[in-house]
Amino acid sequence: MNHGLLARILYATYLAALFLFLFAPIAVVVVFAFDAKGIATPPFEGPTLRWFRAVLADPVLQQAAANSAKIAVITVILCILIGTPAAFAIARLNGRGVRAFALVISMPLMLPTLLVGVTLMAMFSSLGVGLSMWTATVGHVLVTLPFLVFTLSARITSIDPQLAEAAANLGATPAQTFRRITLPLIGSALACAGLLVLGWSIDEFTVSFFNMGGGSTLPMAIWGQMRGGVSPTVNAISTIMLGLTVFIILVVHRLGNIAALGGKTG
Amino acid sequence: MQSPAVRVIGLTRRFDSTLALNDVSLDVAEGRFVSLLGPSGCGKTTLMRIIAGLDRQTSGRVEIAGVDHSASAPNRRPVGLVFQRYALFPHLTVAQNVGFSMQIRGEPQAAIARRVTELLRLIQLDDYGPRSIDQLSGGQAQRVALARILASDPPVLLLDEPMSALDLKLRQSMQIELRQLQRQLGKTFIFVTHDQHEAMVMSDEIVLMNAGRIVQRGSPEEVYFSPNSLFSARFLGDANLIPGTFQNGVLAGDGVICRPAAAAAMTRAEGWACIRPESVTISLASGEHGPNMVHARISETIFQGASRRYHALAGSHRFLVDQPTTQGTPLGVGDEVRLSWPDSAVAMIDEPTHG
Ligand SMILES: Nc1ncnc2c1ncn2[C@@H]1O[C@H](COP(=O)(O)OP(=O)(O)OP(=O)(O)O)[C@@H](O)[C@H]1O
Ligand SMILES: [Mg+2]
Repeated sequence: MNHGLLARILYATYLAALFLFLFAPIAVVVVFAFDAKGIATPPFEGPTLRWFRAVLADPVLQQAAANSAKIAVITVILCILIGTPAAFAIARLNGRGVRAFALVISMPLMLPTLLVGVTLMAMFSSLGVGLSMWTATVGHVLVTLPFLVFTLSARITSIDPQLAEAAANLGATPAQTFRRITLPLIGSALACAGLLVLGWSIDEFTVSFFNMGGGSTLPMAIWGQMRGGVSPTVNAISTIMLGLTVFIILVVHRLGNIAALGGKTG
Repeated sequence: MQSPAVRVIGLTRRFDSTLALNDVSLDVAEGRFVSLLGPSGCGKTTLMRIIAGLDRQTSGRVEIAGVDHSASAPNRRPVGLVFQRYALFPHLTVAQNVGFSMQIRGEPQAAIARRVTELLRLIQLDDYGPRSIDQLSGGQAQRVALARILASDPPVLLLDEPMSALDLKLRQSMQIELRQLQRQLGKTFIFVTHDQHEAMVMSDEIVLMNAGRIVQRGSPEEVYFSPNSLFSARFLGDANLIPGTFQNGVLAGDGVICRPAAAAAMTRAEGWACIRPESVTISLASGEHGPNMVHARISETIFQGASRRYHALAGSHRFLVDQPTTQGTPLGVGDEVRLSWPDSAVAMIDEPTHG
């Protein structure tokens, strides 16, 4: 009895410490984003939305946010277009070639992003390609592709290949089978993977830093502002990005549950 | 003459090292209920899949209703396949599963709804339309798979062990229902099973397969009473198999002489006679002796409900004999008896007796 109580107290303490360690820095950033004083030190001096207004009005940040959004959306689209066939190949075909292909695709996941960013930049310069939003996008696709391919191929593997055969037997053309059977079954996994890629791309710093050329993405702009110390506007942007990320995580979580439900009958 | 509903010619399918189908040729006449029977791994599913176009033959041809479909896409072949594992669409409801093929053909929603309701009534799952398919039992999923194929209305249905998930009782009632349904619809059914009782109960014709080949085909009675090989004889139930030397149209085993009704064409001087246990009559011993008759002593009696099984020793042979329980007085272990059988019950099997 006593033993159980002690264990429970220890467990609760452990959890509290863990949460404190994980979330205290985030809490500080969020709290001081609403602080009127302007320096991130206690005490808290009354709530304000001033910093958020400043962020939204800042033309540099606006430009950076627009860049980030464009890069993220294009990255997601390219990843889906390139990654979906690759995921099918990995899930449905077998043999040496396919395993080697899977290994190559997974490489960027294991390499440090610093290395990817630098080598990519070197490659662009040796090819004589000027750095721009587009070169950064190429880098993003390269790094996020494995996420998408492996999330998706895991889902495809769990789908009974006989479902597509049954559809064909019932008169469906390959295109109809894809639209009515395969796509609905992989849809939630595709959405999850797409959102993960989106979130990753918006947060990405290193690869963008080396391959953006003149412009900057949102994380790069934040970094630029930070050189003058942690300003309240940085807290405000971070809070906005945090909100966005939490939203994405929640959506992915929900879709994930749906995907798990759909996978049960495979 | 009308071309057969399904005709396969010289079909061979090789998977790496295994020969799943080895030169299989088969005609199935329209409106017939044909069972493909054979042990696990003999190539039944492979044959179904090739007919449906889901797998491609290594060599050979497939014709459906007189049209060469050897190379056509599965969605262009007029055959419906009920899969060994149903393959119902998990993201669609029962009704959407059943209506899938009509949806694909672009039929009006009202017509689809009407037909789906009809079919759900036929399979006795009237109220199950809106259910998701993982709320179904094995037997219900089975019937939904059948309804889904019926909605697409193919002239030929291929059923790959559709009853394997059902318990004995449900299975027996489904066997009869399926048979009635087939008569009523007049469609051609090719039914796969490895249960010989099921095949005999349901079929107009049995096609017996072994190791990628068709070993025998015929009506259930023919295949059962006149097996052409030891494999057929053993696969379709219990048999008295008597090895012996073949001379002057009779087979002489160790103290047993078997005489068939019609002279059998044997390629060697030895072979086997097959006599089913039901064909043997048992009576208390008398002095007579002759062909298709043997003196024996009962070593075992087993009550089996409708019939009584006797084991009777005659020289080195142990005979199996089934007698209806309601006929005659039961005999006991140690009784001296005479076993006899008609000429028509003797099937000669042209296989060597050893090696
Ligand atoms: N895709 C495949 N790859 C390799 N071998 C296969 C494949 N499909 C079937 N085989 C082999 O072909 C042979 C015939 O298989 P098939 O599935 O047709 O048997 P079956 O008669 O349907 O058996 P069961 O009664 O167990 O369903 C088996 O030896 C099997 O291992
Ligand atoms: Mg099979």
